[in-house]
Amino acid sequence: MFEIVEKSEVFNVHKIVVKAPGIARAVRAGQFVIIMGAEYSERIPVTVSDWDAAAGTIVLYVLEVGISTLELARMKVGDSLFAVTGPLGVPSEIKNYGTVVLGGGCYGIGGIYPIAKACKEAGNKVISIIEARYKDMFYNEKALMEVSDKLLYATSDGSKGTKGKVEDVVYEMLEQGQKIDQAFFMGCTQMLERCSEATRSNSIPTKVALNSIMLDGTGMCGACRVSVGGQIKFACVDGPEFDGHEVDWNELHSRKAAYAEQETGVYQSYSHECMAEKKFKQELERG
Amino acid sequence: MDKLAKRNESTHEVMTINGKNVSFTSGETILDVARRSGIYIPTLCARADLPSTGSCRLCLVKVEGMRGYATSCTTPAEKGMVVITNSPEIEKLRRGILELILSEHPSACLVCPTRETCEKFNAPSSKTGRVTGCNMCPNRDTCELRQLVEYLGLKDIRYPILYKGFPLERDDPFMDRDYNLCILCGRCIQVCQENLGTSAISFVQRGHDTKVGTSFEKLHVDGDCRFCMHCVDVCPTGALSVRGSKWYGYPDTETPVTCILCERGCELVVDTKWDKVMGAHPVRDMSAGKREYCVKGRCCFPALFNSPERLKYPAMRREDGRFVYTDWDTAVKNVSDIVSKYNPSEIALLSSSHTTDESVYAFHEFARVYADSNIFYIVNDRLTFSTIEKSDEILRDIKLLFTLEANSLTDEILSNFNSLERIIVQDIFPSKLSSSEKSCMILPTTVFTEMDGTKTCAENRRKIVSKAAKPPGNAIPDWEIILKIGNELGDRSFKINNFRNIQNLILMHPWVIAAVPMVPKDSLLYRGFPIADFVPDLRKYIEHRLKGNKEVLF
Repeated sequence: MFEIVEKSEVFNVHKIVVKAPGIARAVRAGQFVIIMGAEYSERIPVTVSDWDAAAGTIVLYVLEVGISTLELARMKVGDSLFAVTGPLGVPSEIKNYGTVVLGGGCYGIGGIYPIAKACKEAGNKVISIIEARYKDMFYNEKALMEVSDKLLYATSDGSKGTKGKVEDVVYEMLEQGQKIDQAFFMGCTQMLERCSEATRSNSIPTKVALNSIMLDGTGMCGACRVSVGGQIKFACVDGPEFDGHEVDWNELHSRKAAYAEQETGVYQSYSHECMAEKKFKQELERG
Repeated sequence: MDKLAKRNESTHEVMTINGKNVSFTSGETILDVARRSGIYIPTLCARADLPSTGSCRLCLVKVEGMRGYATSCTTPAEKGMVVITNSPEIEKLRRGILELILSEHPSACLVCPTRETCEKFNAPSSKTGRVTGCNMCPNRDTCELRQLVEYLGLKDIRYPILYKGFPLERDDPFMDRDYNLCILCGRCIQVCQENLGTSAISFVQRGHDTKVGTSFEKLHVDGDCRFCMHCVDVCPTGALSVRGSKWYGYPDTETPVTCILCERGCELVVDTKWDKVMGAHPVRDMSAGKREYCVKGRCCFPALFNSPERLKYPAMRREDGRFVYTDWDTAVKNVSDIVSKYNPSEIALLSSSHTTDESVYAFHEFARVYADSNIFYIVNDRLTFSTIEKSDEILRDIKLLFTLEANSLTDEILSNFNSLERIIVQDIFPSKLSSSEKSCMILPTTVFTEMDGTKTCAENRRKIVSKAAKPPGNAIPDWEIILKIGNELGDRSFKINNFRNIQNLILMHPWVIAAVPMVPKDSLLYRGFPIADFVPDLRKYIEHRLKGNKEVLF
């Protein structure tokens, strides 16, 4: 079983550190795992945001957006995830680009960390930009600072850094004549779309980590289908990183909302039960 | 009479609001008079159906001759008063107050430039636990704060936003609470204390730590709360929400229905989206009325009626003993073949109190023509015949049983049927009986939010049951199934042809409906099925109430 050794929450983003020695040994920057809270939970794809091969742990940042992530959010240290499958997906292409800009929002603040670290080790100048609604919503800043040459902030209310979003910082940088050789973005689909727009005019190579609905993560089901440059790609085996200028965003948006009815309906018959209590009851029944 | 006389006696005085002469009766506040005269004054705490406390300060108006500004919700109207409700000065003041309110509410989305696209694309797929902005908030479509921001044209908030950092309260059945969104208007406390006299919640702590809570921060279910959800109805923000029905946004339709889960027959409005019942609430204007709704009607509809276990297609038993789905024509033909094999005295019908009058009447008519009037009900696990001429003795000869409430038939009751050969099950959920060896047909029917008709409730009041949602699969209403079978059998004395026909016949034979036993108000069953089996939160609620030695329903 995959024991949770550490758990904390920063404004709806839940940091879950899980014991998964095999994955911790094999994972590379940009890859993800698929996790299941309990035996009958949905499978949730989550970017591996850090790992410690020696301790055999991986760090996941899970955003609560539905019933299955709600279950994950309510788990405690000592509980075990039913399944962690991975590492999945193609690792980020890391080489010496020159100046690399990394943009992260929501779970992406944690998610860009391994890419930043790898880029830094490959000798790049790393500029990390992170966005949130308020200044209190940032997390993992210290670690990100260590692997970035520059860490820039963007907040919706202007409480820290630039008032606006990641793309506003990118526009600012371009206006100031900052040379950007490669950009990576990770966050919600809206943010990825807007950031890709920001880098389009200067033809900056842009990689975005897509977050389409995913099921098995091995290319069998096709649920994560996305159109990139007119070609059908699977985010799980061909991605998750694609050229941001080529992605069909409208299709991705509509496919992401495909199960809104079921996602809403499932709350009707949900009742939270304490995991420990459940276990205790089961033990009692067994005698 | 007294009231009428008093009204005539009370003097009509005249005052001026925004240069318009308006009349009022003594005892009215400026806000009451303005609302009645069609003059809008923004409020966050005052409602016509709640006592005013003057806590939000948004209803400030200028009264000539009075120092400063007066809260219109608490200032009584006086003869000759001259009031100004909107001037640039007052608007500025209100904007300032709203900014202060919003600085303690996660409101970054309100002033975010990418708000619209985000709301369109990101919001539908995110159902967050901790709300950090409007686009993540379940209440975004009906939020009064957002309406006020639009009205006052607020573009920016000058103050830093303070997040209070209260833990989420999600351990109660049915209800989620996030007091980080609370603006302390006090409406929920007013409705609980003043209108309902329950006092389950109150302000706790002082100063910046002030929040709404129960005594000793106990769970609501362990306190005095009875989950009538009036607090959720009056909350202007997304702080309080009904967990099962908070994420569907704005409903496609709102249909007034009568809840027939018990004899009281409460009127509720059912919200539907995607052709399904998503929630039920009182009529909006009455949501703070002095009437409590029980947890069954207020919270259990969606989970009960949308249960994936619902029967969807008619099924018949093949020769090899297995059930196969079929269409209605075949099913009806099959049932009529089975019924025609038996003598009327060998057939008995089990009717239900949980269906419409029309269905019950059709069932009685069917029994009169084809089953020698052998119709009975099950009340408190005991068999009750609808006419006193019948007694338990006839049960020995019954060979075919047609039931509308299969789950009510306990083994004890079934043991009276010594020569039973076959059972026809017409129901909403599968039961032990529907899968037993004797059952030969399964006919899926609808729940009361999926059919039109009437229902006679307590004190002989006949109420309208209306169709709000689409039935699952091919399920059709009880009366329609019985009418199809009755006509297929082709006895001329079966007089029903259509729905209107049944309604006329009910008026001519009211005793048929009068014989239907009433469902007691503390009943926890629907058509013989325990509601808690399909609504896990109700089970949790009942368990906690029993543990605390408290009455379960009221």
